[in-house]
Amino acid sequence: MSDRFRKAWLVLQREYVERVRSKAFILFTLLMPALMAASILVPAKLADIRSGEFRHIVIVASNSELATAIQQQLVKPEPLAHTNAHDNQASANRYIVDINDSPTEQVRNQLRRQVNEGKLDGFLWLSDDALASHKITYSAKDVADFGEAAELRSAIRAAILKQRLAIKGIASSEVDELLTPTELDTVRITEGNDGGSGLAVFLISFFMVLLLYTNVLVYGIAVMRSTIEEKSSRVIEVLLSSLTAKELLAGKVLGVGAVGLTQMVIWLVLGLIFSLPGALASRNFVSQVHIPAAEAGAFAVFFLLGYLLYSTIYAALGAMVNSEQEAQQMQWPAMLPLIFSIFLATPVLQHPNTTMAFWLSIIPFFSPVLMFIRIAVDQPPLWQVALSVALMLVTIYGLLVFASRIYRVGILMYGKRPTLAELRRWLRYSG
Amino acid sequence: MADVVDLRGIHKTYDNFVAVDHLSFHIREGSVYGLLGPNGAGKTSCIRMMIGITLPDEGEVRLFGESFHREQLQNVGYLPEERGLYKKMKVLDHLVFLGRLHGLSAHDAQKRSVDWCDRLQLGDWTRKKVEELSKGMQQKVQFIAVLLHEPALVIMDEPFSGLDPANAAILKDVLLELRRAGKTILFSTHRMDQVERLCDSICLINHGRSVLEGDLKKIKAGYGKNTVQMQYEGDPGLEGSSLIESLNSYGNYAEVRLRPGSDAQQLLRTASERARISRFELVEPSLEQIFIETVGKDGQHP
Repeated sequence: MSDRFRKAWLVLQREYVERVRSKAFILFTLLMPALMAASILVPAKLADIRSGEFRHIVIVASNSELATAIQQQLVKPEPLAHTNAHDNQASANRYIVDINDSPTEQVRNQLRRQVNEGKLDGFLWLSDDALASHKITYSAKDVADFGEAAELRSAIRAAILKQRLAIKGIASSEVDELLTPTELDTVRITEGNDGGSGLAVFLISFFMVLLLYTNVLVYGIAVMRSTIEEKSSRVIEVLLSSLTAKELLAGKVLGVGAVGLTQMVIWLVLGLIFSLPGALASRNFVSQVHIPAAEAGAFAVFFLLGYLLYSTIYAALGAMVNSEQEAQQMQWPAMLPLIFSIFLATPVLQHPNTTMAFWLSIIPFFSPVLMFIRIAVDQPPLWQVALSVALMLVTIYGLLVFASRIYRVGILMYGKRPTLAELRRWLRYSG
Repeated sequence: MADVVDLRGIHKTYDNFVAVDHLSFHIREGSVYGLLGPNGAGKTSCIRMMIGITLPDEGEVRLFGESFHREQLQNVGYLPEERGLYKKMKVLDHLVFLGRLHGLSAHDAQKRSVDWCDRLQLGDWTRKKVEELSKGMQQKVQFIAVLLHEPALVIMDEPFSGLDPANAAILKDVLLELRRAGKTILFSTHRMDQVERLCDSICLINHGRSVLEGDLKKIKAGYGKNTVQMQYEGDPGLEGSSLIESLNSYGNYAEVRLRPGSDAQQLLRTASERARISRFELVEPSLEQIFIETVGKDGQHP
């Protein structure tokens, strides 16, 4: 028995060391975070550069009080109390605002010319007509910046609101107080203590699917390739003279799996290092997505089992086909249950305790996503969790036995892909 | 002496195709055994059952005097006909991996691999990737992989197929050395010239059945000196001669099986009238001839 584990372990070791040492792995592992960092940092940097500039706009309004109020909203130094609420607008535009109190066609044409010549960034048209019809226009050369439009809109709204409230006799300091936004945080109650928030459940479920999908896509397929390679390079028969197909496939699935995990851990560590300053700055947000330890544990367990399950499916596929071209047609069907469970995720997320949710979540191919979601949003009975884990383990083992039988018989018959009927016969062969 | 391999009526069918048909033979310790037969005769199927890659539907495989179990594979070295290596692995890493799979410690596997590589002039290549080696060098690596764990039983399936002459010579030397060291060797082939020089015993199989089995010398003696090997220039007019039962002609060399009661001198006289004979020898039939006759006959009357 220990001998069998020793051999599977040797295969695992070889698979792992050879892959982690390969240039492709090192390059991909380092390049990916670099690309990610670039895709985040470069736009932010560009926004930074732009936000250093002032936007020069003109407000044209016959109501000069309103115009002044909007001007104040736009140019006021960011009030400290609001920093958190406006975190995501850290790169907000800064404005120089002039006021023109004669909304005539002549002025309008003049301003248009100035915008065209680039002397002005844009102008707000607040004629009495426009106000009465609730249609205010902002004319500028470049109107694609949604951030800017939102800023203008909220400034105008706040100014109009303040003005109206002031008419009703409410002091402006009170108005500010009234306008401070309130945030809603949904917190799930579990027995005894506060669980994760609703946002966290959604994020973590999404993360599970994403992680499973990408890892299976890269490393499940690597398992398949590797089984095909052993057949096409004819090394398989040399190996089978000292170990069984089951030991070989188990070692391979685990070895390639470990490579994927290594890559994930490297990325996670790099990600933490780079995002730590930012995360500390916005502690508020992070503390909202508080994840209990039990959930993190469930995540690890269900991710690993899901990963193994799908990798084993790919090992079986690799055992069935003779070339990568053949394999390509079969890559998608293997992924279908995973994709399907994404569609099932929403109903299960909303009603985690229905009979339907129970049955769906113990189907081994769906369990990694659906049972995990049930654990995250609710506390399903422990026996159900245990049952789904057990079923997944059994399925993984079953697939392994299936794959190794196919593999062993398959190598005896190079050349053509087996039909379903042939596969059934092969399974019946004692060896 | 004990039997290292003892096959007892092993039988294997794939779908409706009978690959091996109730085959039995045994191999004495320290002997070189040839498993012969035309392509598709069931040699490889037989060998695969011997080492547990597949299991027989019926019958029993016994190795080293015990019923087959996987631990015995630590003592078997197998060179399959379809052989390959991981192309991206370094030679030394590859050998160590295969050695450890056969139960060697990492240290022993490393040491023996280096020794063997030095011996077969691969010393400078141990740090190279397999794909950087020539095909001939890869073949040497494959031999080493078979012998690394010093198996008592070495099984080679068509070992000489695809070998260049230099490597064939090296393999032959290695086999002879193993034989001197008392190892048991089984190899399958359809090339008779090598078997003839190396084997003590043979089993000739066709359509999965044994058609001729036993000690090679005895088998040949059983046929008697009824065969003429002759070398000539010109056409000795052997075809259609009433003296001849069968003829295997190569243009200026021929092996002739005499009809019972025919006189070899008569054949020499008629042949020398028409062609220049440079060699004329009365011998036991070559294995190739026995092979062709036996298999041919079997083919005609299945």
